[in-house]
Amino acid sequence: MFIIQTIILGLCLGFVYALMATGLTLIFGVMRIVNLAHPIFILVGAFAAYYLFVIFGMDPIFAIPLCAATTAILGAITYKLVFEKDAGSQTYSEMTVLLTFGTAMVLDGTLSYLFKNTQRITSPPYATDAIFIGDIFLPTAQLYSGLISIALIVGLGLFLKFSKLGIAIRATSLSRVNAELVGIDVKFVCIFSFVLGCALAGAAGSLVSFVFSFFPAKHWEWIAILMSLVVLGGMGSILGVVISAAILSVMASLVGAFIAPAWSTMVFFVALFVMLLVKPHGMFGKYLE
Amino acid sequence: MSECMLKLENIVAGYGYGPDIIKNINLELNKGDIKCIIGPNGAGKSTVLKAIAGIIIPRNGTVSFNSEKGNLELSGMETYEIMKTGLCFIPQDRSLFNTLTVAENLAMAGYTINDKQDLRGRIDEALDTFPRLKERLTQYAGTMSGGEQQQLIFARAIILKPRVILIDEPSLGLAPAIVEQAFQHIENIASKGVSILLVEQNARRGLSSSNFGTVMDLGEIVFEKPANQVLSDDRIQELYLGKRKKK
Repeated sequence: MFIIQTIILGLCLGFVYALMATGLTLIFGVMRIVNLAHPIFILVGAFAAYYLFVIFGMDPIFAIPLCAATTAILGAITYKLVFEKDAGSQTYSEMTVLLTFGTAMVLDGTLSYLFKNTQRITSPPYATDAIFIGDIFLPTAQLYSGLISIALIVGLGLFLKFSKLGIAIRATSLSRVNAELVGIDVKFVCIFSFVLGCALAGAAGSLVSFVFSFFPAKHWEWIAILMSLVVLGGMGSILGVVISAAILSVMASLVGAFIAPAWSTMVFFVALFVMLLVKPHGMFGKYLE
Repeated sequence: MSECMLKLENIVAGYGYGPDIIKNINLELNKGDIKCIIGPNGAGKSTVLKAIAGIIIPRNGTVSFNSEKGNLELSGMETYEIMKTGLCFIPQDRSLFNTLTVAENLAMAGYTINDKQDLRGRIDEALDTFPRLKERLTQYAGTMSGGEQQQLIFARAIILKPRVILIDEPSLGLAPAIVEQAFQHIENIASKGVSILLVEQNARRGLSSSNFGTVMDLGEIVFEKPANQVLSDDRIQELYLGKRKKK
């Protein structure tokens, strides 16, 4: 029973990680931006959810659209200020590593200045509740956040698969020149994908706010895990991210439960290490030119 | 005199900060004509097409296009805007989205068409012309054979109902039988009044499907003649066999 419980909780956590990483992989896939600032956007979403809860008593789950809108606006401003000018440059991906690192530092500093580096967690009623099914004990916070995450990812998947704009996003990620040749406004698709990625970060932030305790410098810890998920899944592949997040989180939970919690994070990095040796382009990735 | 669809005047273009690849190109394309640009490697043939399509921006000169909405000046416009005006460009590497399905590729070809009913009709029409694609709708474009990919490319082109199609090296990397098919498609499309500007390495094959031949060398147009007279011109021998006049 304990194993089943660990696996279910691992899966829930995996879906949350997957949602945190989908924006990252989407932004890389379409625009070749290695967005090291992605986790700080998640934190901005988490802080938005926290203060909406503390000040207005708003449930973090219902606050998802507001948190997503907050990070989407912040994302649009960041894109205009930092990324738009050099898009199309030959070394754009390399440049964005530095640009996004800088952006992360600035936002990190701003958040620390505004909110101080103390641990916070949003505590809606279900955050401390749990469901019992026979002997299986499931904390509702993890359960809800996992289910909502997977619902949002499926929604994103359907949008990318069936909508005209979604297909255009996939087409652009395959080839910018060919996308232009069928009349797709590539610049617009890029801004839209970036803002969409940031909105996903905000949505994830809202869920994270009642699952993990957080503080402004927390994002350095997350970027390592999220980047390893993105690389494992294959840079740019959303399906890859979901699968790698699900598998690794379950493994991490098992390691945490049966060996020691301190060792659980290591699962992500061992997996990354092995993957880079065996299949450097990831599970569903393409070789980059 | 038939209607002039595309007119290049004094076009100069090159890549990045590099030297001018094409110099003072003057070219006219009339309605329903197939014009084939030939010339040795590095003559700047593909660059002419890229300059028209806006993939590189001409440094000088004008490109005027007789669109449905009247005469348009194309130089300076973004590629995606040019593609909305009724001009279509088929580049060398075939420009398909390999990991999108055939249906998605066709839908993307009609990206600029907002009327869903209209788009549906155009896609059906294209599928009637290339029935083979009907069986392949859910397959990834990159997994089809070279000939089928070729059909998909022409199907995508006719969905847009363009007035002018620019084609870069249709024979590149294809088996001889499929090259024949490609030129058949090109002739069929032109017979419906679409003008085609073609760049072809295989001069003999390209010219035999064309009305006019334009010969380029070192970024300039050397001469232009009805297609059946091009190969008998003395200057062709010099270009292809490397004999140049002493300076």
